[in-house]
Amino acid sequence: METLNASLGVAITIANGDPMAAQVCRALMEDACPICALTAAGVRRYIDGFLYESVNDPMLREKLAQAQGYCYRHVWQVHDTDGKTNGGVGVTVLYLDFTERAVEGLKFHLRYAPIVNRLHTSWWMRAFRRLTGKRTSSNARITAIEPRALCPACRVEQEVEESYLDSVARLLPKPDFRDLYASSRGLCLPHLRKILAVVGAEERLFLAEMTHAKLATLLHRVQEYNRKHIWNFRAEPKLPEEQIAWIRTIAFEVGEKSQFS
Amino acid sequence: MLDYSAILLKDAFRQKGCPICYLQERGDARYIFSILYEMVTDWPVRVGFVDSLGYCHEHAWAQQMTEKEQWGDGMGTATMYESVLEQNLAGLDQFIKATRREIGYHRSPLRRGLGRVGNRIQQALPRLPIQVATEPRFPFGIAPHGMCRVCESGSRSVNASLDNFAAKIQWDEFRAWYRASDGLCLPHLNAVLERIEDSESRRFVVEVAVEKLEANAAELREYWRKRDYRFQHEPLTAAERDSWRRAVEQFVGNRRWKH
Repeated sequence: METLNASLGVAITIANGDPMAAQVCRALMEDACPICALTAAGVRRYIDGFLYESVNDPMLREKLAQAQGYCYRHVWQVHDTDGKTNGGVGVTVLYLDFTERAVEGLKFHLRYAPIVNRLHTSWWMRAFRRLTGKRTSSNARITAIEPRALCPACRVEQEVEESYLDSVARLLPKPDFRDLYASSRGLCLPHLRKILAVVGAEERLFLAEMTHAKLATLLHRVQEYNRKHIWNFRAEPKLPEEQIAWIRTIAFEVGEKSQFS
Repeated sequence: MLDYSAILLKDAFRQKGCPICYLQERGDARYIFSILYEMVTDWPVRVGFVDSLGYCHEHAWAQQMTEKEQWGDGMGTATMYESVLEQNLAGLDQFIKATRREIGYHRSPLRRGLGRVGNRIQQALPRLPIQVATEPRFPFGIAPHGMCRVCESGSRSVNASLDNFAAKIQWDEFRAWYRASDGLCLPHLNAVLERIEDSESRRFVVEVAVEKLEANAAELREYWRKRDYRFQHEPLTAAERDSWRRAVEQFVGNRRWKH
């Protein structure tokens, strides 16, 4: 508890009254990329909130229906959360509605497909296609079962990620924050790329040098992990940080493992 | 004629969920397994792996999970990522040098003098709505060159499965297999429809999809009804209990890497 209070104190001092910055500082003290962790928490909050009180909200339902429900990555998160809390009733209500809409769309297609086919195969349509060089044909996709909007959870994820990256960018010139960053695990490569694209040259240099130092250590640990697997060196003790170095490497290259990845 | 691809699809139709998703997941899992089993030190494989800086998020963690489950350690993955880390460091080195040069250039007296002159000219001229891109160009090592090799191979195998489906859907036997299956998920339904030329076959595929969706909708309604306290004494069937998971699968495809 005392350690937690101390770390919170440091975070609040560096953040100087900015709650978002305080969250970033706090997340830097954890054993993960702070942006990955905070973004995942933001999406989790959104999904919990949505399932708790907005499943029957007509406006949100309409937006969700436009996106054909959630995307592959988020729908399973919604599925598992709802399964744990409501036995899947939220997902049942939502997807019953979307299924009915999809059935309606497909039936509409079945009803009007012969007319559209006749239109596509008519001599004047073929002549038009030949003249314009357009390759439209009757075997096109059914738009009624395609998402027409971005997954709402993806939008939330994007917004949360951007706001935290912005917060890191604002904190980077502060020496206290730099000390904290130096002692943390740092950002994963996808988030590093994103932040390098928006900060000034001084901050870019600091981030790149820090990442270089951290990666050199990580590479050494991975090499040690591999070396100690060789028969001749099997007796050497395998350190805990070497044992997890390969997992840390994956986390650096692609971001933290989400529960639903 | 019953060929190998038809047998693959026949097997996939017997599985739960979308058959194309099943084949895709099986293909991805086999690719990752075979790389770990016998191609960790294979030079062309390593070049491809480093080129894309490892795999994408989904497949990188799938690789980690596969190795942990199959061999209980991370030797193969660690060996492969050693080269990626070396490339990361080389890329960062290059980036650091370029950034130092940039900072030195901005700090030089000549640059500052030119900057002042430039600023005065800019103030004198009317402001133009032009935004200069300031995004730095990342060297290889910070940014990848190619796409994830598992995704690449997966997309090839999905395209092949969809083409085979579209080519064989005119057979009566194949239609019977398809009708007896759980049906295609909506993304793969559309992808198959793009490939079917014959309007009668297209109609058949869509009709079966409607049947499957309607059947699941009926089970979803029952599941919802029986969750009501007034009907909670009525027993739930296995299909009803599973209907909400199946509904999700029908919209986005089978859940991958669930083991």
